[in-house]
Amino acid sequence: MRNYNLKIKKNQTVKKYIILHNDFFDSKNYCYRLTQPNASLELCIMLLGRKKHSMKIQINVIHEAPRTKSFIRFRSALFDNFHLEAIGRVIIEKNAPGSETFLEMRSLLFGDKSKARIDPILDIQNNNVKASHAAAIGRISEEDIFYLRSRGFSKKQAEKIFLKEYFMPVESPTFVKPACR
Amino acid sequence: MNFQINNFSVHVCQKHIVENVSLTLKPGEIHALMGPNGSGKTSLAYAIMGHPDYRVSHGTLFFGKVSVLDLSPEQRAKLGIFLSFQEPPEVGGVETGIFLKKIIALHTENKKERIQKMENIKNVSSRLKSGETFLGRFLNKDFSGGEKKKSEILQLAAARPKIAILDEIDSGLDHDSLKIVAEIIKDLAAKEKTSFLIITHSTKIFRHLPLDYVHIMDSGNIVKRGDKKLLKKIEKDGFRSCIRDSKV
Amino acid sequence: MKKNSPQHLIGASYKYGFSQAENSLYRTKKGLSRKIVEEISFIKDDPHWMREFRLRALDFFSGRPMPTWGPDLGAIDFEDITYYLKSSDHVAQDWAEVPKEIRETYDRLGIPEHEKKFFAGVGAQYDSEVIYHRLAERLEKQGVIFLDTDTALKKYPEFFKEYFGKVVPPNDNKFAALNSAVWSGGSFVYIPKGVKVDIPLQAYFRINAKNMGQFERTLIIADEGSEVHYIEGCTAPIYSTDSLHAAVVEVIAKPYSHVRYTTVQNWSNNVYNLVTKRARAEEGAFVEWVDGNLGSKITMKYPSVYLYGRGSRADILSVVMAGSGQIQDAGAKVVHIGSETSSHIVSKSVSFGGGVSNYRGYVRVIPRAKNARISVRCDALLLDEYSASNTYPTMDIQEQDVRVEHEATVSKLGEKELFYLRSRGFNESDSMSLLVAGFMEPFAKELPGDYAIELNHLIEMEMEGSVG
Repeated sequence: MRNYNLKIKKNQTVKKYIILHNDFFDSKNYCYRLTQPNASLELCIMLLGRKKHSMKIQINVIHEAPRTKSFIRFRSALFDNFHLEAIGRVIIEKNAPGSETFLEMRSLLFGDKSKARIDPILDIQNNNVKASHAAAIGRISEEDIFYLRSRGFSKKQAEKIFLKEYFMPVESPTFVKPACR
Repeated sequence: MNFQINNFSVHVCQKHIVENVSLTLKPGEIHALMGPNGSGKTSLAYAIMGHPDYRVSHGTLFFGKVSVLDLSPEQRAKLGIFLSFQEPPEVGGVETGIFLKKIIALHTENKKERIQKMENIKNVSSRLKSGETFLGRFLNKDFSGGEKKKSEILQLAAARPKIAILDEIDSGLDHDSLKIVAEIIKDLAAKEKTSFLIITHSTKIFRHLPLDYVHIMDSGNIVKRGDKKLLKKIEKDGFRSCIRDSKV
Repeated sequence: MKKNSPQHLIGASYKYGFSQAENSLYRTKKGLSRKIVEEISFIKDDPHWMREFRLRALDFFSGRPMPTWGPDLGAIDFEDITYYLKSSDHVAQDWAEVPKEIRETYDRLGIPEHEKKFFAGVGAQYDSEVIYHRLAERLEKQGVIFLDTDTALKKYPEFFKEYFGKVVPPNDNKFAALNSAVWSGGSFVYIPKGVKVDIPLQAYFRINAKNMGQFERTLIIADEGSEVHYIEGCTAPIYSTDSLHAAVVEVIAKPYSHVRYTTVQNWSNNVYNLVTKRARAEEGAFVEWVDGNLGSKITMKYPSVYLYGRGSRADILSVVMAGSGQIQDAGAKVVHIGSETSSHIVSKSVSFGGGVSNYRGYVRVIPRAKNARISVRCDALLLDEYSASNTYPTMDIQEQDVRVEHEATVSKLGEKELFYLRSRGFNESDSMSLLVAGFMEPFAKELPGDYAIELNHLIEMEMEGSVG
């Protein structure tokens, strides 16, 4: 069990890129509090899970002040017998108007035995905010792999190319369009 | 070496979509494959290339003496079979230029030759007016329909295959680009003796190309065959009328 | 048999398809105990197995703690509830008793005089009986069975023995256990093979207060290849003297059948509405839950579908309006068991005046449930700074050949859009109601014609109340 806590202060921008793989610690907790106005967080957590292993990751981001922003991207690729449980919780408190958050949680599954359980949670107490999240679990599309194989790449080589983009996305996280535009 | 398709039947999700198709492609020949939407043309192409979802119920596929059905898609590619996709997917993990280099490297041992070939590709890219940044962009990512076709054409030119199946390579291309594609095809047919199976809805590209055979497909079967004369008839009356008075 | 004994009266209900037990003088004392459950079973003249079923369920209820998640249900006093009432006890006895806001709402909604009383449950004699009989003839011709559950249990015990309590077992959760012990009323629907019912079956035609019970139990069986659309509730607010509604709905969709179950709930704001709704979908079956939660003090409802059969599909649309003093805790649950299954969940919620709306979803794909396709979209609109929204979706995926996608947004009405409408002459509350109506449109278009109009009126009224 490993805990990471950070308070982000006034006008402070924190960017964190965390790369995880099989670890001695099978449970990780990340807690970021945006405690003062204009604090902002850009968090990118990448996980490559292999072998027979079970990991629980908890991400908590709390907006406690006005005009705070958080962009959180959690992407994982799970192989072999890897089992993942990931909870991503964003709380925007009542006294945090003008805040924005986008949370993305994804899991790509390989092989026959990997498993993922994802809980993306939004706890919004103020209406003057922009909050959205997206989550996806699945395999790389068969069609995409076939395209590269038809050019002479092996399945593994093709997976590697797609994983490269997956773990280093070119575009910055953006909002899912809110329904009421 | 001939590319021989015999009594080839394919099913997807327990549905038969290609039935008893037989076709022979001799070196340097250019064939057209036409037919209404849903007739099985793309499915045939996918099955020849080895798409895992397209199961071969029976039939054989030989390239010379090699039984292609025993090979994986990448082995078929290395053998010299190329398929240009109707709807190429986006591959954000590799730049177009780098990708083309990799394709060249797959088929060319000699370093000097590789560099030479890449120069040719860059040439073709400017002739296609794809733009300066084209090769630096991620493969097919945010490409327009026309740009995606250009990407397929460049890959064809880079692979210099023995058998090329082109699935609607002409759709979305302007007149000039179409002429360039035709030139590439003629060049490959002449120099590498590449045989072509061109899947298309339009007869336009054949104004710039010699044509050996036309095959019309309907509901998974090849219902009519002919030569350039049949193509003229299709131009005039459309292929539905040809299907009506048909039987191979 | 004595003339006014329960058995005699139940016998009478056989004949008309309507219950006449309203005239019964019977009601149990307050509180819940083994004795009370036995009394209820006796009044209803249950077969032996049903009596045992109720008693076992009571044990489950007593043994089970209150849920540790979700809204606070601490205010429910189980000993202060009468578990079996005369049907007329559920509703106001007199028009004057119906709360002022509700009476005013009916006026504003333009509901005709005699209908008002019907909706309020006062004066059960209404054209609904006439309409019902016409419906009944058509349905009978097709072999369709549409009765209240009490009568159906007597007439068609074989269905009950086979299906009752199988989709929602009594120990599933505390409130399902409660319902299983004291259930009364609700609807039973059976659609024979290949029959497609072309008119929606509306529960409120059966309403005569008996079905509006606290502990309704509904069972719907759609045989192979059949189709049915069942609707319950209405957008007009319903005043209920009961403070606790714990209903259970079980749906069995046999191969290649299509069942759509639409609920529009607008209980008065003294009601705790805790419902377990679940469907079992067999091969190729398609189940749709369209769930509208507009009223009640606290609602906890998560319509679910268990996709057992290959190629079965689920579509869940949950729409929620949480105003002052309300907590709407709603969502959806789908479990993918067979292969080639798919589910599509859309949740839309609007909160204002301090209301809280939550989305609680659970999607599970078990090992070897290959090629499951799932998409979830939940959007929440917070109209003012007093309201809140929480989304708790869980995706538990144990099979790799899947595609699961989930998106959620929480936002307020767009300033730009509001301004645009106002610049065209709409006042603030009209603009808001137009935008909210647009937001809720996926739900409105699922309701039959006359419902949809009422919904828009309702939204207008709520917007007026919440502005300024």
